[in-house]
Amino acid sequence: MRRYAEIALRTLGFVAIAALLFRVWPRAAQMDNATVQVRFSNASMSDTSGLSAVRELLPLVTSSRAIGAVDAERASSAASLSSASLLRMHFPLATIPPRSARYAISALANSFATVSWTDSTNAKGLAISATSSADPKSRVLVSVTGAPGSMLVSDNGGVLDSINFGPGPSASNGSLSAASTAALLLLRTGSPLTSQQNGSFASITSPQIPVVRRLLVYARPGWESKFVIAALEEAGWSVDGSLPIAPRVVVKVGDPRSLDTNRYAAAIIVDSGVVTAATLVKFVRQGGGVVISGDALKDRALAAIASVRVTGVRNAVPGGLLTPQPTSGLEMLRVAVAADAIVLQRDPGSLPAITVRRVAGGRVAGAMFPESWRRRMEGNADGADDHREYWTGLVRAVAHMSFPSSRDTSPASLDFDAAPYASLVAALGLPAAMPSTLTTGISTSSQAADSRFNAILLAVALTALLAEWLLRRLRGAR
Amino acid sequence: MNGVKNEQFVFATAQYASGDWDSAPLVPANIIDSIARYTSLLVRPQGVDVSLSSEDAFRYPLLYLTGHLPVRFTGKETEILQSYLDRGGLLFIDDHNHDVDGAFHQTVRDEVRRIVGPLAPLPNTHELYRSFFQFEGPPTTSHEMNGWGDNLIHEKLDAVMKGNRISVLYSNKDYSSEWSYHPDNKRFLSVDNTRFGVNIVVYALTS
Repeated sequence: MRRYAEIALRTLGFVAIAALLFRVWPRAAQMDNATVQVRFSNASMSDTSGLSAVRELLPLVTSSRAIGAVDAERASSAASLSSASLLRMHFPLATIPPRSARYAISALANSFATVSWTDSTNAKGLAISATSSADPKSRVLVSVTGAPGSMLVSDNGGVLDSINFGPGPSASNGSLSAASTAALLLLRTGSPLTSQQNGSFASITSPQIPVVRRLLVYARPGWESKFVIAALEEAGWSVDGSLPIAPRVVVKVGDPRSLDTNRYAAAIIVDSGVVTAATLVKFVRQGGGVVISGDALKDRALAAIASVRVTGVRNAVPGGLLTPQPTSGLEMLRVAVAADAIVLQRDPGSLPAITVRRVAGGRVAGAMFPESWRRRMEGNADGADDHREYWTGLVRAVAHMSFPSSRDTSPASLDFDAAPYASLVAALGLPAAMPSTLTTGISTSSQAADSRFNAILLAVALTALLAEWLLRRLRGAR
Repeated sequence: MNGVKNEQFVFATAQYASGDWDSAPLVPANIIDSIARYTSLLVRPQGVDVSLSSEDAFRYPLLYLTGHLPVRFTGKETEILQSYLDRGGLLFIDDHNHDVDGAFHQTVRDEVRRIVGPLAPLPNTHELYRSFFQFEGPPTTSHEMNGWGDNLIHEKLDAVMKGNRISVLYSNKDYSSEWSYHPDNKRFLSVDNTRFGVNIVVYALTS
């Protein structure tokens, strides 16, 4: 009876050792040629901090096989590592890994592993940006990009908007050109701002909200000045103005005071001869914005700061205001653009319509339509909206923005992940097809379980062989 | 643009299909004279008559409309007027009858209500009365309390507001009679009675 037990224990021990060898030997042999597939758990991918993914990745990184491969290479050739003997890792990604996880994978790729990935994220080009906007009704401009499909934009207060991107241009070879874009104009946002698409997140710190000051209009009474003021007031701006209507008689709009950035974000000059250049130069040097429009661009006194020089006039096309290109129905100044100015908008005929240049700390815009009001009154049904958008866009391009003195410079305020897809491509390269030599098929979450099972097999083998030896010794045999 | 210099102000009289839109032909010349006399605005020497059924009306953001007879706007006139007022135009209507409840008064108010909403009294503190000359309310006309019309002093004008701007200004003080004379005859007046017309034009151009 005792002899049968000894045989059974001996057999169990040898079987356990064989199983252990079987589990370890083939992988070690395959390690040089096969690729390890790494799958993160859902829980770790939904942890935007990335710490969970790093925890799952860590055992793989520190496993004896990986370290062993590196050690072996170091021993043979410290100067150059042969890729044939490197650990090959492949990440089939259903979501974009959080930033910390990307850093960890990138560290692997830059040390002892060859890393590849396949893109199943459906979040190609996912990115978000936010900038302050000098606009009373929309002070934050949030721009998002993403793959065709739905996207949620949120802040710490909840969902701000949902966007549905239509099918974009077809993408080839993994380029980002398939990304669709959208922009949201918001009054204010909480921080962080995030865009979420198919479980992937992009986040950014919300910009500071600027203090929006008033506008001061210099003009003579007329339809252009009336409708410029009306358009800006409809857009939420508080507008002051001094309109000379007779010798020693000025019609006041609002509460006009001296031009200073402490009170005004921008000055708008509609007619020539209504303001001194010195006043404007001082304001621009303070950082203020100036819009010089129409006939005011012919004012030689303003030439030093103007972004253009008038060279002629393009006549309005009769009936053009009711065509799909309504600006053709407006008289337009032909101009030579200053060397340091940029053209923000062109007329369909390619003539510069809006130009901007930086002068000292401020900006000066040129607007080439002397009678923009006609677009509002004589244009199509959208004429009033177009006219309002034209003027708010002009002011937004130059307006001085003041920020509250307490700027958030804490480390948390700098913690953002604005373009995770681009960052992923930068770290790991373009996505690849699933490797044909993929044989291992492990996941980071099963690594610990594997190690535990091997340890149990080893314990079983040792225990069985020890028990068999004890039984033999107790009956006096060697 | 009809030979009109861009920067010139053009006084426009609204022409409508019903009634007698041209009942006060001397008013435009008189107002134009006052604008040239008191302000530095560039003004076209002749006014224009513009049909309310024509999109030409949009070229003139201030329109003067008057008459004695009942007013019924046609479908096209209604459409143009709605757009005109929605885009920021100002329509100045003066009842040439100076009656309490005359035909023009009743019908034009109905039409205004139908097109843009009801008229409401305009406070005498409104900036219209200070836009150029200073008034403490609408100036009284010589036709009030003289046995013609309703023998009432109308203390206020009426208006339809769009935001804080006047969209339709309505008067039944009969300025059309008061201002309908040749401008040369102003020299016989101790105080120019068209000064309020200047206020209306300046208000339209600046507010």
